[in-house]
Amino acid sequence: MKSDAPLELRKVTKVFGGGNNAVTAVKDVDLLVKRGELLLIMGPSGSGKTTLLTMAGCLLRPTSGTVLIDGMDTTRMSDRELSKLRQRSIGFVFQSFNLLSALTAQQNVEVSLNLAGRNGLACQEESARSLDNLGLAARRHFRPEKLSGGEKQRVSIARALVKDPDIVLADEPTANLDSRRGREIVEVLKAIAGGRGKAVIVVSHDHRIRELADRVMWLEDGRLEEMKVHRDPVCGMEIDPARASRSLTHNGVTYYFCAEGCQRLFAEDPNRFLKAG
Amino acid sequence: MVNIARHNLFADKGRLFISVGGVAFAVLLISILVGLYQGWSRAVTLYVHSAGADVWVRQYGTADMFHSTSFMPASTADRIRQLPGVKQATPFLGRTANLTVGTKQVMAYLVGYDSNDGLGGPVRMSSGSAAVRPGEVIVDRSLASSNDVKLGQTVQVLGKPLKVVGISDGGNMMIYSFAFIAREDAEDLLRLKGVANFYLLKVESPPQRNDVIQSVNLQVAGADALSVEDFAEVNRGFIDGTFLPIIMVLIFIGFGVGVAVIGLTIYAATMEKSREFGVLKAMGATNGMLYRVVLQQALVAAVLGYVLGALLTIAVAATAGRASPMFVISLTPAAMAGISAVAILMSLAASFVPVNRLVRIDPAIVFRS
Ligand SMILES: Nc1ncnc2c1ncn2[C@@H]1O[C@H](COP(=O)(O)OP(=O)(O)OP(=O)(O)O)[C@@H](O)[C@H]1O
Ligand SMILES: [Mg+2]
Repeated sequence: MKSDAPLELRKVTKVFGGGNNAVTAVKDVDLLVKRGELLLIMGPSGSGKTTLLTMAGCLLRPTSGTVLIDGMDTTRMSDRELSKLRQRSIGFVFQSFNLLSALTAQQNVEVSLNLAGRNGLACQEESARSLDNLGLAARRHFRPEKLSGGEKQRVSIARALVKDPDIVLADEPTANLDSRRGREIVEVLKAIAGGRGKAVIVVSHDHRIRELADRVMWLEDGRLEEMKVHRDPVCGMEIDPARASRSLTHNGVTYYFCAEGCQRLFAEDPNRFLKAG
Repeated sequence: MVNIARHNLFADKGRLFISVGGVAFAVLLISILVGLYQGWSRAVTLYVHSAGADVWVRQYGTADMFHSTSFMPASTADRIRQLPGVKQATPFLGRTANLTVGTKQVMAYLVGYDSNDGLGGPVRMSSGSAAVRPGEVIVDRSLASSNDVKLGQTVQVLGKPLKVVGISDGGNMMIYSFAFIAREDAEDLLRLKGVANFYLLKVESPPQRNDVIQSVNLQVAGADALSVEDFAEVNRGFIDGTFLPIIMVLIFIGFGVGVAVIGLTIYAATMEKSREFGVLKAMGATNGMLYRVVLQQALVAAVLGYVLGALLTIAVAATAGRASPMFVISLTPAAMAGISAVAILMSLAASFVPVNRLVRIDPAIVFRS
């Protein structure tokens, strides 16, 4: 029986280290990801995106809070049980592809099925088909060293998908690709979410893929929230905080500007613009 | 199922070559040592077994043929011959002595033997005659080939010129070999008139052997009778006592070299692939699955190394045997099986550290670049 929301995080917190050196990488995050949904998580560097994804993938145990996979509480599961869960239910896609260098594209995909407990000819055929679907029919027997970055990433997607997991987690899948290949990769992930009813989370800095996401969330200082639209309070232009060249804090609120001119006008008399807003 | 171990192993041919070469070298070293040991043991006991006696009698309180000097008077033989069941008691005269070939001194174990008795002669003849008469000598093939001795040639034995009438085989004892002279010559040259070092007994029927041994021991003062098997064992004991400890040390070193080479290469391979092992863990592989990959890599390297090492051993044994008859390398199938087990053991020992490193690989590293 498959639940509607394969992945749910409840009050998940991760603290690294202790004492004076304690770093709270993720703080009280609640999140529900539904089938068919592509969720994009954005945020500045060091905000805890990777940590969050690692916990969602059951590779790291939260300091507090609960990760539910298909409605099952993973908190009290043993490492072995978590391994089993990952074998079948979670597919990973990484920034640096992480293919096994001694294996061909097809073997890389097949290993994923082997780990899920499946062997034999049917497995090979399924792996081949999975690569074909991603346009890699001619590259099946190539080792990763002979593949381009985009091809490697598609192999890794095939590897993540072939076992038909409910959840696909991708950390910066486009970071090592040029913008066209990067977009293609996200389109593939989007098609997977929509077409095959998977819960897909993509973590990325890449704003060009925002429009492909069903939902975008913003993680900052370990806290996750719905992505706010920031506007330049002077000219009203939509500003992407991660790329804003100008910002200033007034009464504890950070404002972003399109250019120096707007910032200067705001600084002269903030209230004039805030009242108007 | 994709065989990750095999692909990993063969993807890096240079490293595979080093691990296989390391095991092969260790196997070669161990096989040659075991082979030499077995060769020596065999050579030492071969003569005792083929001397034709059912029972060997030594002086009470002495040990083997090579290290202790057993002397018994002729009267001992007379007493023995009167015992029931004894068919024949032939004196054995023998000790090491120098042969002079040209200007060269060569050590040999000189045996005085009477071909009419049929006891105590060469294991087998390579050429010439086994019937050695006074003034004649039979030398072993190993002595003949390394000193270029031919039939009809004269060699000096304890100052007396003797004509080589036969070349025997099976008497190579590494350090020296057996040479045979007529019993009369031996009595004279070895100063053993009226004395014998051992008596070689034939019994009337095999079932009487134990009774004969018992009655010699009980009734003949100063005589100690042993079955041919026991006496062979006593002589083999001398190899065990002197060479076995040295051989064991060398085998241990060989084992260590093998473990170190596979260990280091497998360790390096595991460390280099630790990220990939992390990926496998992330994908749901358990530690057990990863152990198997590493163990299999080590095992395959060990098996290939064993095969290569065994082939090298055959080549080296053949070449060394031809180059110098001193090298009698004889390997029984059981010894080869034992060495293969040692190679497997090497790979298991070598995997210990890398396998332990696998446990510590955190799958969360896969998200860090
Ligand atoms: N294993 C760890 N031990 C200690 N601190 C850690 C560990 N992993 C992450 N951190 C800290 O947690 C915080 C969040 O790190 P994280 O890698 O999740 O950020 P991120 O949003 O993925 O950054 P980026 O965009 O640069 O990849 C950082 O301050 C980081 O230094
Ligand atoms: Mg990150």
